[in-house]
Amino acid sequence: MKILCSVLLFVLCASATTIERDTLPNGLIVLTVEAHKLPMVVMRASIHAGSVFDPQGKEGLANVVSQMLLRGTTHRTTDEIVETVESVGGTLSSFADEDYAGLTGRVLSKDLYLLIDLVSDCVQHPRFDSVELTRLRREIVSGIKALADDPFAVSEREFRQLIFHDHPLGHFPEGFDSSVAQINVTDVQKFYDSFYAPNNGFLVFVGDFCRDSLIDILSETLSSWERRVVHAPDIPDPTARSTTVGKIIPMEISQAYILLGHLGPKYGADDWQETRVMNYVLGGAASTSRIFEHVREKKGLAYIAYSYFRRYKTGGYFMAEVQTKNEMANEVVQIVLDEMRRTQDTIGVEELQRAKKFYTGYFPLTHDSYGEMADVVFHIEIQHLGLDYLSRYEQLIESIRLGDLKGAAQKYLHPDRFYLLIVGDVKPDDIDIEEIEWLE
Amino acid sequence: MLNIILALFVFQPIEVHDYDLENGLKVLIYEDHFAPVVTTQVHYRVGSAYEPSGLTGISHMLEHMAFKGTKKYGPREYDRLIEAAGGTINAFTSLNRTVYYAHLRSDRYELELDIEADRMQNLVIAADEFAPEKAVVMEERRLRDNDPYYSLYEQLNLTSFLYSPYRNPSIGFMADIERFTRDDVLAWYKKYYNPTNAIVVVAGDVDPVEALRLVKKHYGTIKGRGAEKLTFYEPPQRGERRFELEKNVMTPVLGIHYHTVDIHHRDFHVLEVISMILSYGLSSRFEKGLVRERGVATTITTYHSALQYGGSFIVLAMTQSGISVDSLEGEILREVERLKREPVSDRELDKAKNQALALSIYEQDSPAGIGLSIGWWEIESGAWENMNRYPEEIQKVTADDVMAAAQKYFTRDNRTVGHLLPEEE
Repeated sequence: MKILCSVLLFVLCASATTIERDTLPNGLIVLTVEAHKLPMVVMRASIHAGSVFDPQGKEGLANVVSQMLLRGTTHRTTDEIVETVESVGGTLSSFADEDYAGLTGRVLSKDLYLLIDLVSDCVQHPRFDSVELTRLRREIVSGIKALADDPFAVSEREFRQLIFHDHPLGHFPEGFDSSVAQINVTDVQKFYDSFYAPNNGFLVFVGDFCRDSLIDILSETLSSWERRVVHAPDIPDPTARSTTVGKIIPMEISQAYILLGHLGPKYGADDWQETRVMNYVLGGAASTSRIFEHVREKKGLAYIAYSYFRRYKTGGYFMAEVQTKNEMANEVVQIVLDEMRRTQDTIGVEELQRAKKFYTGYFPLTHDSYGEMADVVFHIEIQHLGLDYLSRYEQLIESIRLGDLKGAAQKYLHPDRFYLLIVGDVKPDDIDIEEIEWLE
Repeated sequence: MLNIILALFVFQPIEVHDYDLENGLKVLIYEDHFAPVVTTQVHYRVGSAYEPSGLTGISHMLEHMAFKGTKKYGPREYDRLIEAAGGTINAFTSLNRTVYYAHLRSDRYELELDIEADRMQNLVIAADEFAPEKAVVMEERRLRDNDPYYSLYEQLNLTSFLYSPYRNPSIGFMADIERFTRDDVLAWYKKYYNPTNAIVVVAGDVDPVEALRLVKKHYGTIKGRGAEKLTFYEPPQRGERRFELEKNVMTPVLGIHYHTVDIHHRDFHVLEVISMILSYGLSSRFEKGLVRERGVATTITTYHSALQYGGSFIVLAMTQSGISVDSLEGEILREVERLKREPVSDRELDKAKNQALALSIYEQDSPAGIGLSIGWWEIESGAWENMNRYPEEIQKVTADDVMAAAQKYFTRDNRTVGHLLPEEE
């Protein structure tokens, strides 16, 4: 009956791309974007239970907990969970990032209530079976070990540790092979009990459904999931070291991976759009950024040269990366530092215009499918961007002035104090930087 | 009954505005107003299957040179223009197609129409750009040679197809890449890049009348020069073929190839369902039985492709440590044999059909996705409308069909088996 009901509702509902936000009686927030171009729905269930809450020595726990949600409930075995969603051609998987963890799913719209029922079971009644946990740990550890020889993966992980050292952003959500191996059922249960509450998360639905009936069904299905007090650990802002710090990971490869950066703004910074546009000029634009053009001028130095700011709820960082021949490492480091300084000094009007044209053009491409729209809505919620963000975006970009970019460059670029990580066949003496402290 | 009603309701046929310009250009326009985005794609009916011995890889080389400048725009200028407009641009070459596309905000998509019209007529293929780009392509070929998994796949095709050009790797053989000249590439361009041999797909937030006007404005005056219709069929394989390949890998990998059918054959849909049963999702037979329960492989994937002139059903599997490739092969063949002996249950069959049908919907979840599908169906099957028949044909597949197809195609004589093994010290 529910199926037919949803089919009929799909016919009767009007189409409009607006984001709605409702709160269920148990505190669970529901964000919806109704659209009817295709008979499918994408869902994302997110709990504020990301890897920054991993206890020390148990790095990777948040990720393990989210994956264990699909490894058996008190009502269903792992196989039954998989069979239920796949029997209707749907998909359901877990995710864990630094801030949030949870489940994402995709079904034809006629099967939406099946998905809701399944997700409701998985988030409320996980079984945390020790045999399943042992199997999962083994899978994760072998995945981590498989990356040990990949210079790109090594450079990214090492850089994060270097820049955040003992701050919880210093590890990736997967954790370390040694720490994942330490995670037991008690850890999983404790973490789950601490964070998995309806008032500590939100759902996103994008696609072919009718919001009113969806909210009714959710209220009914999830009513047994009770609100409770959640004590999120207080995560302090990361602190920078007082000197420039370098580290070299020796690896016999022809191309060195050079990562240079420092701490940056976290979510919520007022001048984020300005900062992003400034970075477009510096190293964000694929083939026209200053770093890319400067590196390319010196023919053959590198194919890959870019920079970005990455942000989370509890911290963020700036990073420039160049992959180049080992013997060019010093030259590339000097180029990146030169361009950071030059960006603090001058940015041209035409560069600003070019960046604006890029961002106003690129933005719609980031949410032209239900799947991508669900991701954008997720970010709108966690960054408090406002439900009118999609319509406000162009104005946000167009209102940026040249002075704003300069301000952002001076505030958020630090060419005088940074972290440098090199993976490759390079020695500290090859790099010409005054007052750098090399770590072993 | 309810299932059929629902299926008819859910799988609404897609509507494409279909036009033929006087110069032979096929124009396919699809409206999707979910976001202000338009994908513009030009699909040429040429790819590695068109290449004679001595010229393998030339379609791919031309694709590279197609970014290296025209009379109007300099080398890599296309990339810069699209990027400046906030768009993304790319291209690929396959057996039967060479495709160029860009995704742009909907008020900026004329830029890509302009660029592709320019690319269709005005490529310079300058000698001073050709030599360095050839070096880039040769480097790409070397990278493939160093990739053991690609090498297994290439060898599987070369051993399975002895006559059909479906054996050709799209990158080409090194000797051919070294040999072909700038003039060869220019001649290839003149022969295949013209409106009669192309399809323009515009999908996304467009007004179809306006989109057609813009296509006519940019392409209407380009002269059509005809299209080449290929016909070739691989003679039936008579006997199992086997090979071993030694490469720098940690664990052995297995590849199995069966010849199947072209896209017009009814068994195309049956094989789609079989592919789902064997390897799609965590509950599939290979994934559940062999990867998770028996632990003989770390991954097992099947690829089913039915194209204009024939098809392949390929299984690629990576052994779990401590398991020999021979025993993995035995386990996989046992599963394949089971398909021939035991009818699949209604539940498993329904699941596989639901997965195939749902996937066909998910693939439409972006203008880029549906645009590529429309072009694929138009070229491979001869008419984009065939994609609307897909749900109905999948629904018709029975357990008997599955068993009959398994018995017909998954035979020893029709099989090629490759083992990728670690080099001996």
